[in-house]
Amino acid sequence: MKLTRRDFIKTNAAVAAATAAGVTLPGINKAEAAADGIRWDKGVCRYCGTGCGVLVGTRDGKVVASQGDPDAPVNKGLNCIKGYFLPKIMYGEDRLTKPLLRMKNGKFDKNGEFAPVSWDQAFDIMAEKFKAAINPEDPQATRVGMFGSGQWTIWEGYAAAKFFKAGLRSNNIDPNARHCMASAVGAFMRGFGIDEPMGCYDDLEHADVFVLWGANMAEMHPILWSRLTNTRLTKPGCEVHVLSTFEHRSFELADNGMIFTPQSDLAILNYIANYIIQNKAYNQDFIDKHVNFNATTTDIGYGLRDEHPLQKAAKNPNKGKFNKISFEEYAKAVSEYTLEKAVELSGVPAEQLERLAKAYADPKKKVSSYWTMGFNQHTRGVWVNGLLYNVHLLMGKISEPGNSPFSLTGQPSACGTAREVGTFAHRLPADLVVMNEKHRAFAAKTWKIPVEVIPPKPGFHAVLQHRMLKDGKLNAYWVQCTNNMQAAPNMNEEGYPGYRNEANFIVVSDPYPTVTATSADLILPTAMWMEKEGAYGNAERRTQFWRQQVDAPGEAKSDIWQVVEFSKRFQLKDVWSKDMIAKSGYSADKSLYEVLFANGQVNKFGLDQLQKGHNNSESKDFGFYLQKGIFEEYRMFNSAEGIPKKGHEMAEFEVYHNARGLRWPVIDGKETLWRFREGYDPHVKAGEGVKFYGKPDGKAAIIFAPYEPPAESPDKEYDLWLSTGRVLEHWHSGSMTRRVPELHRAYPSAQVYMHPDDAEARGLKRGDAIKISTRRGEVLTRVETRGRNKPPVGLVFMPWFDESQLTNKLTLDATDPLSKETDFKKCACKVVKA
Amino acid sequence: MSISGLVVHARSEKLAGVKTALEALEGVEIHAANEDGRLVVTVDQLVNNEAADTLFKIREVDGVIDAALVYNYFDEDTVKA
Repeated sequence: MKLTRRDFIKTNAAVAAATAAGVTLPGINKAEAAADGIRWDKGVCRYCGTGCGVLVGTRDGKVVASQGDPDAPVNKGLNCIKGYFLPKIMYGEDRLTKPLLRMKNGKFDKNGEFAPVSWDQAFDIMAEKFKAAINPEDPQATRVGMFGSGQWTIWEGYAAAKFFKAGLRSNNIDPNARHCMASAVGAFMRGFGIDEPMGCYDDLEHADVFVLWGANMAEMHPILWSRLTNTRLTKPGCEVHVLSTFEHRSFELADNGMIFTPQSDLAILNYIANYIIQNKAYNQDFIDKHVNFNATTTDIGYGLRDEHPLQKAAKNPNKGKFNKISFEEYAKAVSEYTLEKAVELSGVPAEQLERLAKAYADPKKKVSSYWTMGFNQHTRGVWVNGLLYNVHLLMGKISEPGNSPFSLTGQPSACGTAREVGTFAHRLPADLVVMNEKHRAFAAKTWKIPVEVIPPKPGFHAVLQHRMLKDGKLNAYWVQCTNNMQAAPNMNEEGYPGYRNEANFIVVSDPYPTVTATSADLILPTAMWMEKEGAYGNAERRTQFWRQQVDAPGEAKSDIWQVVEFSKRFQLKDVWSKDMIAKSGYSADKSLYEVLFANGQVNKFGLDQLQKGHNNSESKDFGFYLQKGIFEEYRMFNSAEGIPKKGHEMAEFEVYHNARGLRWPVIDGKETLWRFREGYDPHVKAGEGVKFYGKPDGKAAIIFAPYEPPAESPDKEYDLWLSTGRVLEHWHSGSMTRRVPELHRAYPSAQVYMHPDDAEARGLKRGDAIKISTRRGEVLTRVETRGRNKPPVGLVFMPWFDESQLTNKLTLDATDPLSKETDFKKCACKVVKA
Repeated sequence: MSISGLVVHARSEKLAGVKTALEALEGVEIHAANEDGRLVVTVDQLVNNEAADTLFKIREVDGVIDAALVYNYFDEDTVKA
């Protein structure tokens, strides 16, 4: 029988799906792919931190198709619904192609209308405003800042951080990863002395028990969820526990689904530790050799403005110090968290909590725990991350296949860029910090600048940047690759007044006119995703590269081009003191471009090394292979002889263009799947077994922290909990996915998910127009009492992707006092019929 | 014309119902269904927007835990015609 073209394609589709699922299709042979003039090349998905490999299909200078990369170890050919429409994110109708400046009568005016200008005009006004906010002789008077992104490519983040810290002498640069990962980072540094998970995605096939803590993987990490589901369905005895403050899609697979009262995760985790100790289930040998016990400072406030009553009431605001205690003292501290107390605080039935505790305490069961924003966006985020490590460490269930506490990430390069290259206000590349004199000295030597240039104090973090803009203490501000006006908390009281403060000049680089861009004074059009050569680092430490596939539209330029080109506008005398210039040996009229980028390192590789058949717009403009030069200079921080902190080693640049990503540390060309364990991690010597080498004594820190109440809880007037988050169809603020017609159609508007009893008590029917309000603002929306999210009585959930319903007018800017990450999951609201 | 290949994960005890519900969706064909709940499915539709809607509908079927895309073919000429 002759197959029609349609049958042929369908057979291809079925075979590909069957192969990915490991299911056999009887009687079908793999068909040959049809030749259709499309060039296929490997790429990385633009959305979440999973880091799926995608094959990108280009024809006539346009990306026309994508598919899951069958050779990518992360997703093995699978693609989520958002990934299906990936090519369309670059082709929204309102793509920006020219710089736009607010003008009146042909001149910049803060209250003018946006009008197109040339790149030269854009950089002229920008340089004027930035120079006015810099005093070369008095760094205290320097009032410049930048807000970056876990969606920046690795070299974009590195270049921006270097430009600010080594060029403009400001640590006021922070990434949006502050809103999503900072608590995870804080706990890694406190517990292990080195950032990022010890395990990897392979744990998804090795574990017997999966526990989700504040992570709706079914919607937010669909491909990892597919892998987890596959294990649950095919492995005898495998079980899934899901904890959340409301029921969501992941509960459909749960063997033990638990709804807990917001903030009581702190108590549940201490109860599990107590259960393990009471039943003497802990791994004595592991504890003796690899762990020490500590207790953290308590009553630390809520990261609000200093004058806020809650801050004033705290005994030890913002204190993170922890002190060594004995095992007995630790056991006594957690003994307060009995099953009865955990039930009382959490509202979870006793038998369900006990079932969870037993799973962790069973030495024969391999347990992998996953968490995302439920843990991280938490006023005790660092603590709660740490409490989970305590449980895994007590059992020795860590750093081996299937036993894995694993912090998932929400952005494609929250790890690779935001965390690893040092874009945080306190960080330098490869886990170094500005507060450490030796780290500053090493960075300065590598960058060939005087050590005095790098300020020794952390700069303004994300939430503080908005407060400082509002207070007029941060006056020249650049936002790249993120939609922070929509994403940051308490927009009404902090974000918007900050941007529109007459004293400030705000620049936003974006491919689209987002809420953030249109709140700015100057908008720079940005080349995105496959319009540039890129590199991302995903949640399992995997560094992945792609080549430029197409050119950007109009005059749009990539973020790295913008930073490097803008650095030409500064001479050393504009930014460094006379003493520093004298010490550097550079002439005062040398440009920052020459000092930072044309420095003999970054400009070392010629255009002859570019891949034939692919454009590289930035390198062609600057005359050298920019991405390679940046990456190889970055490797001087993580892979060269004599680096201050080992453990982040990476392979040479070209290796990544030829691999489907590699997980660091990469030593002798070999990646590392499980860190800290002999046989897997080359940093652990024969006979050592396990070594947490991020810490001087090689031991991980178990740190006791108690339950403390949230910053704001429902009361008589604001009688409901408000939790915010995402939906499957949209990624973050929707700036890309809302421009894909199919995704927009599938989920056009945000809504408030509410329990039917709560709706009835307010006289509301499903679909009614409502007004949701908090002490900070109000939003008009509609109520949904059915559907995928089912909140308990007393809590509502609202996604924040919809720019016509700005959810963050409602949220409170309470942050974890240690990580400075906002708690977007808990504040008090009320709902009335609109 | 739009043709996709999907892996659908369903709760094994609800497999029969899931199969009936999927087959009732226009353009959906089941190529394999393992007892453990894994199904190989294709979606074949003339209009691309409707294909997208079908993909979302599959996820909403009672008993479906997850649906992941593996393959898609997208023919613009057919849409214009």
